[in-house]
Amino acid sequence: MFEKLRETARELLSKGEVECVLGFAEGTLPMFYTPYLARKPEEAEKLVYGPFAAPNIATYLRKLKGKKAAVIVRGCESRTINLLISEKQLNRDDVKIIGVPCVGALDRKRILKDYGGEIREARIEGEKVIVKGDNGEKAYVLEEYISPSCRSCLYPEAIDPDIKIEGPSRDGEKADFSDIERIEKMSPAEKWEFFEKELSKCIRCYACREICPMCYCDSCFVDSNRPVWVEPGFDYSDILSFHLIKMYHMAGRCVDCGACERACPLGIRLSFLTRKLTKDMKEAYNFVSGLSPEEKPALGVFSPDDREDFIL
Amino acid sequence: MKDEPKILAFLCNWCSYAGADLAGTSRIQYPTNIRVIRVPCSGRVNPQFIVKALHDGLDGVWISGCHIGDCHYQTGNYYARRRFYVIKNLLEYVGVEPERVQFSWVSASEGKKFAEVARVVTEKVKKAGRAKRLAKKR
Ligand code: SF4
Ligand code: SF4
Ligand code: SF4
Repeated sequence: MFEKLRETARELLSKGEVECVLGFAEGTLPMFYTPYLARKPEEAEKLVYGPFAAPNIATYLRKLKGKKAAVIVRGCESRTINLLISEKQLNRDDVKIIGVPCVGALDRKRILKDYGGEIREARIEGEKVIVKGDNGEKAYVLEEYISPSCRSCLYPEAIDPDIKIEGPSRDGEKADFSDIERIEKMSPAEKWEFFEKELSKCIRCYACREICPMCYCDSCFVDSNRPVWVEPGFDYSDILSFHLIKMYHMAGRCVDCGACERACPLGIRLSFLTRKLTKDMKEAYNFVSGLSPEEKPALGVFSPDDREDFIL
Repeated sequence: MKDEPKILAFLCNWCSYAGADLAGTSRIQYPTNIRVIRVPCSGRVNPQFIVKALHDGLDGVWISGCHIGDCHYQTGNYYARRRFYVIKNLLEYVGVEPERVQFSWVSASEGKKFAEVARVVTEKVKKAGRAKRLAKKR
């Protein structure tokens, strides 16, 4: 199933058009592809793509700055590359973009939870995920275990790829934000309770920041001690301040790839925040992050008739 | 005094701060709950300041700048307007009372309006009561 991709990568490498091809390969854990850098033509045989790829590959691409690299991307990842180019973190001429189809990324933690015991093997067969382990073989309907961010994805396919690998993708027209709308309708007290329950699990390991392709600051506000924006410890006011400020930094920059949510060891639904941001930016400013490398970040521009119904 | 809310006001030097000055020199009364920090421009107010103020226990935050089109630096308040919209929405979304964070445009000649907005902001914050949610308990 990955033949077309592998052939493309092999050719690029053997012709010397690129120094390396960045993508995913089978990992050591089931249902979990690992980021992989193919440097030789024969290494292209390892490349894969699909729902088992949890991180956003652009996180690793930034570290290859200056190298001629090809990168295998889904919709959200191609939008990340556009943002990184517009923020001068990458040169467009250095990257060759290979777009692959995307049916969404798997919410692996939910399968682990529903299965119960240890899973030792997993594969995708058509529209199902087949797992094997402690509790025997079980099949799960893939679509029911897709990450929440992917359910509200507006652009599942890569934007302006240099090379496109064809295949079935999600339908961006069917993006669903109904759960966010439900939260928006709650009273302040209910909202507070809802988020306190969800976010107070946070141990501030900052895995969500480390995995985020747009969180590349050399010094992050959480490490600042003059002033101290967030204090150490488990007080919810500090945890929430961290998430609020991080989300503010992501306004117009988050592509809602869901990588942070999938990386969180506590299984916190960070997509309740990232998807709200996505929804707000679209509704208020008709802005979707990363549609073009020339586009300025939404908070770096303005329009004279921006909404101001919230101003006294 | 114990139950009187404290409201942090970020006022821009060129308009709202001068408006507050005019309210003062015209001897117009306004609530004493307001604590002013003078900033060069509403665009100088990083939304992080709002989160930190609430976290540090302020009961309300009020940010006021020049009217749209009147910014001393021409575009500062345009940028500010977008940022404030984003942070206000986020704060409300996680359950912070909407009354706590307020924005306004008040010019240097609007001493009366300054006092009036100060009253409105104070009433709204009073309605939300003393800060308890995002405020860190010490
Ligand atoms: S990864 Fe999860 S636990 Fe770690 S800081 Fe982020 S939200 Fe908190
Ligand atoms: S949370 Fe903000 S300051 Fe920290 S790395 Fe991300 S963008 Fe930078
Ligand atoms: S904050 Fe946004 S861009 Fe960053 S990992 Fe999370 S969903 Fe992706």
